[in-house]
Amino acid sequence: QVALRIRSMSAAELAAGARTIAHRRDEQVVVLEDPSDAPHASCSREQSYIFDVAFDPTATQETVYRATTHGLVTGVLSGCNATIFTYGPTGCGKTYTMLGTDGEPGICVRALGELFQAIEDTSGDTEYRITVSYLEIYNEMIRDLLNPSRGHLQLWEDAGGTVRVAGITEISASSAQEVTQLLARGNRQRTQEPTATNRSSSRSHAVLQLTVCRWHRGRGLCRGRGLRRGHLFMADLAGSERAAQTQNRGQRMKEGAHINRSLLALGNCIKALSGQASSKYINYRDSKLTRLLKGSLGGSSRTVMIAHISPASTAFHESRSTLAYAHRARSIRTAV
Amino acid sequence: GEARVLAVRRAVLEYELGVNHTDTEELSAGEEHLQRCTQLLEPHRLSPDCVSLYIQAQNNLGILWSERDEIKTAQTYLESAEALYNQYMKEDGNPPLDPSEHFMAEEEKLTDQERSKRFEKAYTHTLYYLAQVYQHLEMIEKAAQYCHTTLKRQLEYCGYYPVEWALNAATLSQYYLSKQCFMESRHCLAAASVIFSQAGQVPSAEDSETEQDQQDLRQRKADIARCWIKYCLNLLQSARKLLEDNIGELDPDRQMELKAQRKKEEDEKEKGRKKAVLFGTSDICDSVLAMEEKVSSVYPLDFQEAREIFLVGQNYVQEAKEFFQVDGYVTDHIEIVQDHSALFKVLAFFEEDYERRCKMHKRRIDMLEPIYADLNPQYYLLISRQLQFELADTYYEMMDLKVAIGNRLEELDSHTIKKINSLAQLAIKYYELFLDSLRNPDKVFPEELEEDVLRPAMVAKFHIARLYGKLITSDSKKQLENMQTSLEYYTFLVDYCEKYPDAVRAIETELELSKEMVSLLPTRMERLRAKLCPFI
Repeated sequence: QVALRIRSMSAAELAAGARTIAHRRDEQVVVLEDPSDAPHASCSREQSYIFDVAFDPTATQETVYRATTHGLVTGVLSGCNATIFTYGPTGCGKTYTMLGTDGEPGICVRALGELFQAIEDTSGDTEYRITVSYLEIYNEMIRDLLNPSRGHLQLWEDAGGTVRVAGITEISASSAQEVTQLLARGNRQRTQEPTATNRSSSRSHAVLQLTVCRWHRGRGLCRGRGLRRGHLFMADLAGSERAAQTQNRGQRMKEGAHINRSLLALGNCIKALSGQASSKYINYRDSKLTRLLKGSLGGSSRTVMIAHISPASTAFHESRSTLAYAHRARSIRTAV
Repeated sequence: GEARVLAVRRAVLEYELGVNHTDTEELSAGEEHLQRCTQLLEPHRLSPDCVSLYIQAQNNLGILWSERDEIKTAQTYLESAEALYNQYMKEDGNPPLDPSEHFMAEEEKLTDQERSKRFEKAYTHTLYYLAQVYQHLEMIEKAAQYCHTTLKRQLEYCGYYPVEWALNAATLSQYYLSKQCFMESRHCLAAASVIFSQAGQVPSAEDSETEQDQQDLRQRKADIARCWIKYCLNLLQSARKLLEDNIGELDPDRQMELKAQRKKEEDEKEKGRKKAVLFGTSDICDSVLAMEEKVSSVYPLDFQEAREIFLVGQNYVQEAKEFFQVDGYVTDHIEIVQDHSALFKVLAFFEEDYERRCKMHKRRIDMLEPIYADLNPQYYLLISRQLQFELADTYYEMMDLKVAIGNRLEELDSHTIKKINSLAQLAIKYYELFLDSLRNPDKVFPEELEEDVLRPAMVAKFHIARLYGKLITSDSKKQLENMQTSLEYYTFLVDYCEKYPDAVRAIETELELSKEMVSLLPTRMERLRAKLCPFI
């Protein structure tokens, strides 16, 4: 599922004289205007994009939560996996959506609240255990945000079937408040990105993992029968300003006839020659983020992406590439 | 004269504008400018001051049309550029002017060497774009050929990143494998290994970056090793297919035939080699050749030849396992071990002596069983089933071999009998585990089996039936029990195929035999019962 959220105009943007060029036409359609003054012979000035749900600046945190995350929580309680991403250029509201503010909590906090509430409400013979871990992936290096002094951690795939971060802190949580505090602490540990625009390789993703373990009381240890384990991954992705550059290299989402200019994509072309051949092909994009979320991106798990854009004319190019990317992401699902 | 110079300069500007528009997805404007560019150059397109620009304009027109999803139109532009390059090289061949030079002062102009480099780079892109076009048009063989040439030219003209190049070459080798082109596959892999070794330490200021890069290098090296494993495995398995008779044993007549044929083909192979697209600037040519000589690219036709390839494959298994260790890379590790097991299995085919064959299968058990034991079937369902089935099949194979060995002797001694029974029991155990894995969470065996598990499930049932028939016991009561169990399993197969006639295709041979057994066994059991209780 792909959602799009338009943030409200910022003071800085107004001061720079920007006007609004991104509009939400209806529940699912977003329209982007080309703000440039130069005459265009044959291209249209407006481009519309359809998503599963679109939010304009007036949408509240509650609305966004209900439409995107609420449905995932029940699944996680019964042992399914779910992943939710926030995506978009820096400053377009990803963290606001994810964490929010004290007065306007974001989806993370709300999901936690709902989880803990559901636990309280269920009948007495089910036991739950919730663990939380919070990590950052920056330049393909993993840091534990709840215990940053440990340095860089490695990914581990074990015979039990999970890809974990070796040695990461998993804190047992008993209330939503406790987790929110942990998150706030963890956030302060995030890597400060250099403001200069020359470091095109820097990408810092923050991934919160909630694991809900549930089993029937009286059956003893966690490893007994009836154990259900659900994971909820909430990932605040790095700023996507550089997304355009990586698109040439990564897997092509839509199988269009589009030719890739860069020789960097030669690998993709060669890989596609074998089609679904059983011979081993080399996994080009084995990023840490992909491996970590591998289990949760499988068939029975649900994924929601919330893309963010600014409404300002000054951010036209970034908005356009974000919209195009998110739009393509939607078509992966329908193809599967 | 003057007009010509101006026209060309104008063409450069049109070109730059055209590319600009295309990049910003303003395709109509882009097309306009690019067309104007080619129009201006048309009458002089074969001359040194225009040819490079013309080709590049056509490259971009190709890209443009691909953006419009009109891939055939893109193809015409790119093929035209390709033809022009070939014509120019044939008729003139001197390094042409680079488009940027038209606005340069005299002293800034490029050397011939630089001109040539840039021109060749432009043409490499033409070929690369064509590779993509052919792929979209599903002309896969041609696409592969163009990818191959692009790789070659990267080495010679374009500059390349060793690791990336090596991975691309290794991936291309896998394509060739799928087409049974072993010579080309080996060449790609050999080049991949040679170029990869060029990637030394990546210099970096921060410690952690170097660590990560080292990690990456080690993984990529292991990736290439895995491609080599697949090469060896494929070569052996393809040879097996050629040599086996209808019961899966090595056919000595076919072997003789193929050996004779090979002798004849040796000359032709040499010619074929010279025509093939070879990688190699002179400095790496020798290294690539040296790597190639370590392993054959022709089908092994006897045990000696098979063993040599097997050993090469086994070495790469060890290399790959160095990086893909169980702890941390379970899926990859297991796949490598499965390949190792497959290497043994195919080598066993070439081995004539039954005892030695058995030992090879034992090696397979030894490497697969511990891994299987540690695996959590809930999360690794598919691999778990694969291993169960493979272990069962291997034990089954070993049991059959022991029986064959035993049959050569006068009488089966108690040791051999015990061995046969124990192997049979183990095979049964793993087939049962496999069948259990198909049950739903309430432990009920599915009424109707899904397509992808149908045949294995049926084969499992069939083999279990046969295994119970092979168990040796002196206790007649026990023997009756075994026959009863055997009958039940054969009956299951027959009944299932009656209920679901579509299933018949999947297990024709087994079904026939099952039907026979279902009619024979009850009679045999009656006779045995009569012997036991003659007074009833």
